[in-house]
Amino acid sequence: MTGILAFCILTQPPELAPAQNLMVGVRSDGYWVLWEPSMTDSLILRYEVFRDGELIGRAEIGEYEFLDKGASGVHTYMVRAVGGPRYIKEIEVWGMKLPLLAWQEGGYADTRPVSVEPLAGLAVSHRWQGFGFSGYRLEWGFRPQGFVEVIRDGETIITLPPGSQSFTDASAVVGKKGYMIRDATTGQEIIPNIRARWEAVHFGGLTLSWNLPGQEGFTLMRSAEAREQDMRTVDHMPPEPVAQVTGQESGFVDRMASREMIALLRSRSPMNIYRYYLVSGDGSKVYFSEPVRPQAFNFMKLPVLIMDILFACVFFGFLFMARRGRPMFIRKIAGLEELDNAVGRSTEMGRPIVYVPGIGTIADIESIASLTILKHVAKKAAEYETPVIMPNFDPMVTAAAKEVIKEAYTEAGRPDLYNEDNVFYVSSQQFAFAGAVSGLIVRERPGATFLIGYYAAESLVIAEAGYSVGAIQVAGTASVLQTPFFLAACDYVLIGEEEYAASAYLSHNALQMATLKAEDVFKATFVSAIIVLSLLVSLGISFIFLS
Amino acid sequence: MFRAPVWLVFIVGLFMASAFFIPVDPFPMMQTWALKWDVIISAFALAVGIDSLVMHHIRRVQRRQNVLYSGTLLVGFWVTIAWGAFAWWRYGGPFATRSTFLWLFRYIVVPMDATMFSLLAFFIASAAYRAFRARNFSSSLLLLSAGIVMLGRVPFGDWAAAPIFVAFALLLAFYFLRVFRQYEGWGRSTRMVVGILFLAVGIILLWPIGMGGQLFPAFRFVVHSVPHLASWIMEVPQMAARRGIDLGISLGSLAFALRVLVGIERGYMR
Repeated sequence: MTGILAFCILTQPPELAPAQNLMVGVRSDGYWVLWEPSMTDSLILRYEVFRDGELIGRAEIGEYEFLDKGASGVHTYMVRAVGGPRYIKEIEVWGMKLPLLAWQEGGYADTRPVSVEPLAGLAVSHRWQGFGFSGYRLEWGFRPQGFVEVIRDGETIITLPPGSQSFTDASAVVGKKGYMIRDATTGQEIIPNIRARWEAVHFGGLTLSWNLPGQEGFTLMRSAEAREQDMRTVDHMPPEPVAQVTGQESGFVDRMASREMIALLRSRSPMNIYRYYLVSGDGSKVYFSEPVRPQAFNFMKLPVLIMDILFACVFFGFLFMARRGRPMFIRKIAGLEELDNAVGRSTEMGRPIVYVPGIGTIADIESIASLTILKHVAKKAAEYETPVIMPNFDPMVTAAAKEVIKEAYTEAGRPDLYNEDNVFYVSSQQFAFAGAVSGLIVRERPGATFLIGYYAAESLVIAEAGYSVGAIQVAGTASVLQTPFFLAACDYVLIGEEEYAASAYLSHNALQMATLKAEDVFKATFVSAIIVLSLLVSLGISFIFLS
Repeated sequence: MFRAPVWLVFIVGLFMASAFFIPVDPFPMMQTWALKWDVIISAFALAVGIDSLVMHHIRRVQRRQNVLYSGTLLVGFWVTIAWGAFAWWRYGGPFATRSTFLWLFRYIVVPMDATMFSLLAFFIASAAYRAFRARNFSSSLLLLSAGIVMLGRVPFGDWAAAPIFVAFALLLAFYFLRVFRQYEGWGRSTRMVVGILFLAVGIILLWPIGMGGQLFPAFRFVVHSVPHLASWIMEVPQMAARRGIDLGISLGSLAFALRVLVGIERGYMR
């Protein structure tokens, strides 16, 4: 009897649970219905999405979203979890797997309906608080599960969403670091391990305001859309909680949004937009804002523009002086002085020259600078009748290099010596290129190698091959990480901007030399400013812009 | 002669620079179009590059010059293209899930790439050996700071540091106290003092018991200090030098870009 009762109880299908956390996001192409799996997801056959009581679509298990294409205006959405036939247990009888406890398809569970409607004037604009505004950046080194309150001098200044690990307090006062954070769910207060670092904040945040009838409070959420480089692919980020606001509040400044927007702008992803949502306490009402777009001018880059303009003024000032015939003295650059000697040594040894422009493309400034140096080297090689071998990583650099060498040979009066076959494309695969160039150097045993251009990890592989055959090596790259490798393996190295200065330096043209002079003056000013301001800060004399 | 291209470069350059500051259309859109054109032109240039590569090696084979290498490249090139085309026809793409072309990629291209990359470890060792030879004051400083950074960053490096420092100090003490007699005047006394100092450092490091009954107190101090010292070297002197170079590179790029924009630098126009 007990067994029969147990059988009857077990064969009753368990009660289905509805989908969880139903939320309706808004995208450029329609309303985006999102939910989390039901507690009884293994018993669910599919999910059905209803708009204003009408079935509009289905989602299979594993898909917890549905796009209502073209939807706009006020709608109410609901998701139904439909149960399917499932077996609780299988038994094996004579090698066959048979269902022991089974029930037929049946039952469904509906979520609470969620209404979504636009709210005009919710998100306003960026609130610009001026250049040089600063604050403390707090980092607490763990991911809280619930909402987090940031407390300054006993007063809660902001409630952050789950998972927040940092916050910048733009309203901070220098020296007042009495911060504490509290997990809003558990009430646990955490004081240690908060790192407060003073840093500049350039955006005040994004100001939101609303006028809604008194409610028990809202969860403020934010979603984002970012267009990829091809302008067609759109990356959608679902709504995520930003803060919790009470029913009495009618405004909020989303400071995190500006930080994220800066990050998105820095990623060069054009046309990112935000949308904000006010979700009622029980989740049944969703108000959303108009899309928030970036400002017409990226004020984050204002300091860059100011410095660029200042530099251009100094640049044109020196250019003007050079035109009036003022002599310009430029210090000697050993690497560039030795270019001719390296070609001469190669000629004396009766060996060719290998010129490697690195793994940059023609769009890289280093490749352009390298081609300028190539012309000088090729001209000298043509005068000394020494062949120049040039393996290339980029096909466009190959084409440009061919023209450069051809012109150099023509200018030297030896176009007959130009051999097009010596300038060739190898591979656009980094280490395939490194292997090919190393092999070439070992086989051809050049008297001199010139490794000038953009380099990454292959720098040392190629430089060591040159060292092993006893070639005199002149290297140059703007990559700070590769410079030590070149210093260890090469005879002469163009460090940093010396590579860019090469064309002006080698041309001995007064106008070009003037631009180098402008660069040096600007650099000296910067270094002096850094030294003076560091001393002032060390002595305790601090201004807001020094922080 | 070059007037039209210079104006074109000036206008396009100025437009692209504006897109850096103005993140709303039409600037980002135009920038994206320019990037697209770059990709399109690169694709055509690749055909020119392949022509250059294949013809270069065909000529080498014809001249009986490094026939083995050039022949291997040509065979590999055509086999890869044929295999890729077959995979396209058979599986719908060379990198489709069940494509046999993936085998070529996974078991030939990737291991060869990894082999070249791993060779870097040996090249670094040989270059480091040359760079760290204590020939003068600068290279001695480099050797010392590199040694501290390595010991501070590798597993158990901090524990290995103390015995290494002891051995180093005692060896140097032995060297200086042995050679100081061969010199006269200041050289003699300086070497003697340096030798005694190194001997003192060695003895202090090996001092067995400190205050509070702590065993090998100086030894422990070294173990705790080395990681901090390594971090300090990386964060302060190294970072200062690096930022100096970075500053120069930024200004150099800016000056170069301005030279190109205003038409003083025309190396790209061939």
